[in-house]
Amino acid sequence: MIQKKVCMIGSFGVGKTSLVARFVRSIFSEKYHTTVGVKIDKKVVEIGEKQVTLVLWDIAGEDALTTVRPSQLRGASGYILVVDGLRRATYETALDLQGRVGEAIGPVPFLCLLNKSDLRERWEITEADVEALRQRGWPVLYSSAKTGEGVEDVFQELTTEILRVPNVRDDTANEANRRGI
Amino acid sequence: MSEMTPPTKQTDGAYEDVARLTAAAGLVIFERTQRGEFTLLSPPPDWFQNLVPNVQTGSVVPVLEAFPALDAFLPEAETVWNGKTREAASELVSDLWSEVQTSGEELHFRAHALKADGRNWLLLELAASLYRERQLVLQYAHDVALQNDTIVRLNLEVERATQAKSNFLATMSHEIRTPLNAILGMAELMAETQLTEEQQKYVGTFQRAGSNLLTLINDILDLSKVESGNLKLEFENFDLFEVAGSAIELVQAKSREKGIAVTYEIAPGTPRYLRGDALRLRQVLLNLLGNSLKFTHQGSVRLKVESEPDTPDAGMVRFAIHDTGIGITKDQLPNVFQSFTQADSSITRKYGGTGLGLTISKKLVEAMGGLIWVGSTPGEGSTFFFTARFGPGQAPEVAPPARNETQASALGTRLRILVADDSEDNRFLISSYLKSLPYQLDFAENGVVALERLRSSTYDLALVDVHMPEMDGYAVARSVRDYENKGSNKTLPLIALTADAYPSAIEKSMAAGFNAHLSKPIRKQTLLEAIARHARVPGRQDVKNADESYSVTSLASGYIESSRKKAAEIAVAIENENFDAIRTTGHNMKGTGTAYGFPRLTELGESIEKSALEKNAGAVRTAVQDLIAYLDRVALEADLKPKA
Repeated sequence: MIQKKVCMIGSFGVGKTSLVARFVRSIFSEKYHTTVGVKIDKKVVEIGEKQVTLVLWDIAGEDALTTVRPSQLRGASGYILVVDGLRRATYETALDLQGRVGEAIGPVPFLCLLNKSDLRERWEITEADVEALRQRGWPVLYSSAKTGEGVEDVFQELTTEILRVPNVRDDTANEANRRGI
Repeated sequence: MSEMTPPTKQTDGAYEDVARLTAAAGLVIFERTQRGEFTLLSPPPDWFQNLVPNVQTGSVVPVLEAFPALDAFLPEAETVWNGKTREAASELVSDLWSEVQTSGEELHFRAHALKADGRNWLLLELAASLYRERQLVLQYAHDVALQNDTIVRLNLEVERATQAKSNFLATMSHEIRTPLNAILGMAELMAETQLTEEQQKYVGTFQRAGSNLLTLINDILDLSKVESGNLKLEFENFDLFEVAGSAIELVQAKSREKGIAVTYEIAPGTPRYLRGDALRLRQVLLNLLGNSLKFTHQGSVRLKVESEPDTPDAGMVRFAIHDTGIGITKDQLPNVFQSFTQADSSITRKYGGTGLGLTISKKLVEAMGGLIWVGSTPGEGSTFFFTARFGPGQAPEVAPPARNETQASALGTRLRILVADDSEDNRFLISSYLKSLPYQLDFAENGVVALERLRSSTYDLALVDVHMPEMDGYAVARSVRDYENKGSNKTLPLIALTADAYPSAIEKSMAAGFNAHLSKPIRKQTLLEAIARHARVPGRQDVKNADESYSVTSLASGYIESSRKKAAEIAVAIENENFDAIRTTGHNMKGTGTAYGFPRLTELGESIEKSALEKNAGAVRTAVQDLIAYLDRVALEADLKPKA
């Protein structure tokens, strides 16, 4: 079976944990818990005839208190950059994070996910902001971990993209890590 | 190192104890072999078996596969196990991480890499409570960070909004003041033309309403200045008595209209020469006096100035403004100093105003290191008190007469004027109006003395009060004209002064032989104009040119007002494209500004003249705007705001 590491990245409180919970277990809780360190979850997705086990790394949200570490990203085949539509600051953080993640693990597939689409009328993020992201060549999708809208698509789409690109690099990287080198 | 031989349950009681202990402590112990494998040493607790099924003590466990989160930790742990670190850093602890089971249950772990007794160990610690504590702390910190984010954002928004408000106020008040100046200036010009009584009434309304509007705009601007912290107080020498006196003088016109006496008293021992912001002090006094006058329908308004009795601070002065007005009820008292609040909203309808005056006064007084408060009995009156702290000042060094001398000789003329009035106050008022002008003033306290003086000396003009003891003004005038008819051909210009403004009184004055009749209260400008119009040859000039021959400081008021009219004239001339008129006005201003102590007006006059010559309406407009702005500033600085 193919196994792929996918990282959830973004500011604290954007909904990374909720997205994973919605995707893996179809549940959503209004209660907010911050993630300490890393949370590992697994889910099998089917892309065509292939079964892929996604190892989802839900990484503690980036802010003044926590910084995403390159060691947590190592070996990732792809990542999801999560932005909270209600907080413009999380958009800025995403722009910054993408640059750093790219430096740490190279140009692996990723998606930018604008979360909390159920509260669209209160968003600080504008259409112009979204357009600016697309101008950068970022694939942008909308989701709501609360209603489940768009969540399944995100993982399907990213996995498809991961399978499409040559994956020699991350497999070797994973192997190297496994050996403790 | 050789591989461990797992102890057996059956034979080793100590092993059972260890197993219970490690399970209770939530620990799983592996030995890291030289081959880089991990052998389970402790008996696997239930939670471990859920995550990694089918293992038992002694099994080699694919640790990384079971716990991907150790991906980054294990390579680091190798440095401990291989002794690559310089010191005996024999333990390395991982970050906390969570494993989510298919059921959704989360388990929280921490890993320890140990080197002890030459053997390498990996401990997995089930760290639920530790995880939750850290999560709570972090969550709290995040909430605070999120709140801070919001506060910073809101602050920014408020700051932006305040800035926008200030800009809006500044721009709008300028935009409103510019046309308002033209309206007021033109109304004043119009008031001087031949008008029917009805027309005079209309023009008077223009002037009053315009002037009220200007005051309101100035108040709003002042308040926004104080609120935005842009108010800077001056620290200059000033004459406290003069400031108090001139404030009284300014409200007296209004008080006479209402038939209310406005008096002032300066207590003995009050310091006269101080340092501080005289302009702002006068503004507070005018606000409070005006306020008292507004709410007083009969009786009096009294200002008392004294050294603050309750403090040893020599520079602390207390002002009390007492009136016999409608008073303020106890309930209303706390609101009187609040913005846009009058004691009762019905008051606004009856008395007008925005209630800004007292708010501004309060802020100004506080800025001057003082306090403001009020005591009142409804139906009997109110007393507003305020204190302000000033520095010790100096008396002016140059005596005014010397300056007059120079000025007069420079002009080559020096009018000699007799002031006949039995009221000492009136004599003082006229002498204040005319002080520092190139006039020689003589005084007479009754008609007999006046007539003696007029016979024994040569005067260029006489100002004569018609109601005087011994011999009234009419008799004086008749005697003078009789005397002139008998011998001398010179006709002495005589101006009657009276509080009586009825047409019959004017006729009576004219019949007695007066050249002109001035009704009290006499405004300074009116008096100056009358003198300029009627005085004998050396001073006989038309009103417009009269500006040019007076001395500097005390004529500033007249000059500024006349410049304001000129600005209005130019504004009209621009519309009519009458560049010749603009050029003449500009030229005139260029020639006079510096002489009056306003070099900037000379510059502006020059610029206006030049722009008119080039027929550049835009440039003239800009210069006129600069001119109006400058006049406003000067007026504000010298408290020469245009009055209705």
